[in-house]
Amino acid sequence: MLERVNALLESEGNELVEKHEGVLVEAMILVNDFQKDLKAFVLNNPVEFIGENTEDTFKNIRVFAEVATSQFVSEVSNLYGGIIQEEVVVPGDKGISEYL
Amino acid sequence: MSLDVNKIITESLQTITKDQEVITEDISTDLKNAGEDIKTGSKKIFHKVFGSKTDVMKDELEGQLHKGLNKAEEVGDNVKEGISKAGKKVAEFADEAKEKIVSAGNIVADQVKEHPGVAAATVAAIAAGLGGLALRKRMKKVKEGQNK
Repeated sequence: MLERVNALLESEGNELVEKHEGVLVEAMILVNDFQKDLKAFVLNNPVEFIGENTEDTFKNIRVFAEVATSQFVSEVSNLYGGIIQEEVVVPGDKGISEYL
Repeated sequence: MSLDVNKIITESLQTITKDQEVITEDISTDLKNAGEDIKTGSKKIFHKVFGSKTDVMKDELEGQLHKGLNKAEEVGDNVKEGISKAGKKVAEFADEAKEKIVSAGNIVADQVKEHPGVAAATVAAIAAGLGGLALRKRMKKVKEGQNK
């Protein structure tokens, strides 16, 4: 296990992370703050989430939050990944922009 | 989103300005009507009290009364003008406030423009979340249909 950790720490990826620490921190803050957007959206659009009972309402909010967060992480990764990968071109998922 | 807020605020301020104009007009009309009432009432009282006096005295008193009425009307006009000026100041203040709000709105809009990627990511994520929610609702309906 430790060998794997050491290998990761010594890898080029780690260097990349250290080099662009600021960008990564900004991306992490964005993802962390996304919960506020989610909360605001749910509170502003309660009709979309209210179910037959509390349990159902909770499930509605949970599904919405999980899918939205997943998509947001993907979008932010693509957005900030572009900055980090400016030197190393790696083809991959382009997020929603791929469908536009 | 910020543009919608600006629209609502602008419309609200326009409504306030219009309301203020209507109020000024109403006060002006009330003053005019009050002046007319005073004029009519005074004439009636004058004729009742001085009806039996000589025509000279009658004319003199009538002249004085007219002077008084003119003065009252003048005062009324000044009041009207004062109200109008105050109204204009309120309107100016409203315009200034509107400009400040619009300016603040533009700053927010600029921030969104500066980070269009983040805004697009948020919108995409919300859309995806709603898609997931719609799918859950549909699956639930299907399940309920199967159970029946």
